[in-house]
Amino acid sequence: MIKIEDLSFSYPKASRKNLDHLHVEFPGQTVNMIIGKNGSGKTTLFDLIANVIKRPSEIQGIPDEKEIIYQLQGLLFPLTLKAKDLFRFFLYSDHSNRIEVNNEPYVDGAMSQAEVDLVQRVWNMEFGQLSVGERRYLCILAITLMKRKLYIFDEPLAGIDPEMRYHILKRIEKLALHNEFTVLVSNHHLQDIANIQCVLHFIHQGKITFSGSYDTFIEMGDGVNPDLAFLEQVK
Amino acid sequence: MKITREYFRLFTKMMLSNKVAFVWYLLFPLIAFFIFNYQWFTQGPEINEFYIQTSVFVSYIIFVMSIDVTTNLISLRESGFFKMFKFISGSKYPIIWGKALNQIGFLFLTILLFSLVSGVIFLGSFGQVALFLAVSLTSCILGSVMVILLTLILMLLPVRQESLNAVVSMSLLVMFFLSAKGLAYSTEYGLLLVFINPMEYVRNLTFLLAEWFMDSPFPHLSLINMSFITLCYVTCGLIALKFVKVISRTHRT
Repeated sequence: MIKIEDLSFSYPKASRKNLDHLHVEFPGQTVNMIIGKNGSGKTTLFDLIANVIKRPSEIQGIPDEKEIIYQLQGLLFPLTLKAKDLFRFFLYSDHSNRIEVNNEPYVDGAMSQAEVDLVQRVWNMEFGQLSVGERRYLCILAITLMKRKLYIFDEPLAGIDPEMRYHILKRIEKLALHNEFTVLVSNHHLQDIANIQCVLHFIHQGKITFSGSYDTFIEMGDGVNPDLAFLEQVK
Repeated sequence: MKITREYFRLFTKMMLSNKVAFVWYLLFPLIAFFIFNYQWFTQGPEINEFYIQTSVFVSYIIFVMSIDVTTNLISLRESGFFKMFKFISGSKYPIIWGKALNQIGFLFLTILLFSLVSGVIFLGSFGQVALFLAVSLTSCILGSVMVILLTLILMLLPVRQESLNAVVSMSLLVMFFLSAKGLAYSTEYGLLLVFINPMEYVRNLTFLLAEWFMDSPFPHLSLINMSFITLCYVTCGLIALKFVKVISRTHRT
């Protein structure tokens, strides 16, 4: 479990604190879904946890840096690179990789039929011909195959359609539920969260203002629409 | 090593996907060289004159392609690639080695093509061409490693890739003319001029090697001075490698 006690942080020359006396606990074996407005401090928190920005002593329970993976959105790759080459590159650049990639599409038992169909369809396509969602799914599929103790996904669902969002979230959920890992995900698509088991953490003005289940969260709105609960939180 | 090879492979594919730039890198120095020395088609050059003229182009190519390692790494850092893949690979170094090896590989090809074509056309014998290839390719490998190490220090500065490109483009022009004018040998500030002008450093390296290989005198700094500058370049590189950050120094990724 990751435990953060009374963490404050601000960037040099910043007019306000990015994180302000923040307290939170991120348990293992579940998806820790961090939500909040743009600029609320989600990525700053991730950067501090991952030691991209020097990690202060207020953050406890972080594994060694080699046991962390940090996924970002929207990376640039040559458009002529085939999907299988991209997948291969992700796995073969992983320092702990034991998986061999060949010309056959990668499938495993944890994938749904829709995911198997997707991988088989795009395997020999060029990166430039894939949709944003297909690209992101391939990257996340590769990342979930990497053996780590802490997984950080920074907005893995940004800019992609509901079907791909569903597959990506399910993949991340399986990773979190079936192993003793800590999984942190930042996300703005609140409706999607209903599809998975997770703990929600709401960050606002540098503080965690809510930690709990999705059901408890939506009760703060009309009990149905999570966006209303979100608006209630930022009032 | 296996991970470095993967980055080398990726960066090679990236480079080959930009065919116009690749061909331009290969052909532009040759075209410029022939335009500058068109009179050699009617009357062949003296061997020393040939080395002096070609060294300007060899050092230009080496400098321009070597500094691309730093500008490309800054670009990767600004896009978030560096941050994410540092965690995937467990270290920032395979990314840096992969890029440096990829660039040195292409540089080697460019220098090979340039030296082979210019040597075959303007040198009298196979032996002279072989000797010229040995000098330029050795200079290419040694010079590129030193220039890459030196320019990595730019990654510690809070400068955007586009700003760096503008500074490099303008500095390149000045460095090229300072080098072509041979000011390093005609003033008492020769050491300083070579030190601050990596292009001139590579040119001196080429002359040193040419002198060793051919046993013929060329104008260059003493071996002690060259060793001192080399040591400074290596020190800059080691400092940069240790302290280079995986996140942009100018904006959030």
